[in-house]
Amino acid sequence: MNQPDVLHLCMGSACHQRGVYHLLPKLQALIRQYNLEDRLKLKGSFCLGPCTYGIVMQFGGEIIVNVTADNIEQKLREEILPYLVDEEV
Amino acid sequence: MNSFYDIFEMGLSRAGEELCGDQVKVFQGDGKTIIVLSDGLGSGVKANILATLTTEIIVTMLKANASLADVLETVIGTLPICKIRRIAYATFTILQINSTTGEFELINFDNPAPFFFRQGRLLTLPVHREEILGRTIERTQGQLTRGDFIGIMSDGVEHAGMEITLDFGWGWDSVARHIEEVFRHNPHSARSIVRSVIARVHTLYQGDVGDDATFVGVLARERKSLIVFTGPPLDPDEDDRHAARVLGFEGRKVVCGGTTGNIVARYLDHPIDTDIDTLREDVPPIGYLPGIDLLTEGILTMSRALEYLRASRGSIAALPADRNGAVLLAKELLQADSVQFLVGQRINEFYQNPLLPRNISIRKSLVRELADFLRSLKKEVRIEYC
Repeated sequence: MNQPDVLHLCMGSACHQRGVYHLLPKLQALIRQYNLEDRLKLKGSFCLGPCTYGIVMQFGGEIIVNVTADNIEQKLREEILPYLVDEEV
Repeated sequence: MNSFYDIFEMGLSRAGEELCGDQVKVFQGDGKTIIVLSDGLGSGVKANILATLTTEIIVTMLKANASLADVLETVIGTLPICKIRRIAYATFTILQINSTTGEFELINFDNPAPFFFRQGRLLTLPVHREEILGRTIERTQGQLTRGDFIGIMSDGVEHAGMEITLDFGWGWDSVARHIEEVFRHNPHSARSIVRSVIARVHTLYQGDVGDDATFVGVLARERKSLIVFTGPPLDPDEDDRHAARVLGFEGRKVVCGGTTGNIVARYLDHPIDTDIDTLREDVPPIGYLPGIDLLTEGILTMSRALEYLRASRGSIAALPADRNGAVLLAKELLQADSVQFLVGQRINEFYQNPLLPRNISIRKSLVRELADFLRSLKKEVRIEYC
């Protein structure tokens, strides 16, 4: 089996101010809900850079911006799930 | 000997008095340390004024290298005369240390004899008595080495418990034995020794403190240094140089700031490992980097640490029990004797955003407030901007 892909969630000053504390448990719940525990490793990160567009995530070298607790499921489905390494490869 | 002179003072006022009749003044600078403890005649306002005048005059004049005779003459000539007792009177003990060589001199006028401990054992140093302006002054000279402890007290300590728990009070020898006992538990700071003595005084008086009681301790010990690197340098070309300097610092190393942490991470070519478990609603998580003792987010963590520090009044035990970035930062700052802040001034444009709930473009003033607080605890603080 492959190493799980890593999703970085920014926890820098700006993203913290924008509520990453409340986003984190929601994202963790979604990862369980979609049975991604073995394929997606969630990691906290220091400032990822584009603070103006926080909350920021990074996945596979791509930056995902403007993440909120409301759109996190949509972001996960559209910007992460299609690019996950297939478990069976 | 690059030792640190760890100074801590603590006093109890006589029951019912708001002002303490004992006063302590400490001066550190120009390569010397001057500590003066004065016990004013009586208690309350009058004693407080006598003692305050005495300490102020002595420290001001000694800073200017005045002779002891001149200092005494000025003290005696300045103090108001008590209408009842018809004397102008405040006792005092002076400790002067040459910060470079460790040579010290104790000058005592009518306070209990100072204590000198070496490796936790009471040592009797030769005392020279001399008459100056009709008053007997006791002088003791010596050389401080690492582990030495000097204790200065007002008679309220020696007399603790008199007529309450003990017929004649605690007594000089018993205070000395108490300090020796504290040394058996390896005290790491002047604070722990002084607090233990004053706590005992309080117990002996059973809360009904009969006289102002003050104890000042000086412990010569290894200097604990800390560097705090916060904020990216103005010139990005200097990033590596500053990162290297922080990593090469002799002492504990703390980095506060996401961008600042990334600068050190890039220099080390090692990713930051973020510890999500330390994320709190009001404090971002800490991270780990080899060679760095503590890595935190910047502004939010430092502001919270400042709040914790103020609430703790400088006591590590009074910090919240939680393990988060701000508590850990506060602990590092309290454990250090000397703190060097290396403050980068590059501005993160996002932090000017008025939509943010809190102003996070305040690094400089925050560092200054932290520095002021640490200086109030007699720590050496330097701020360098880059």
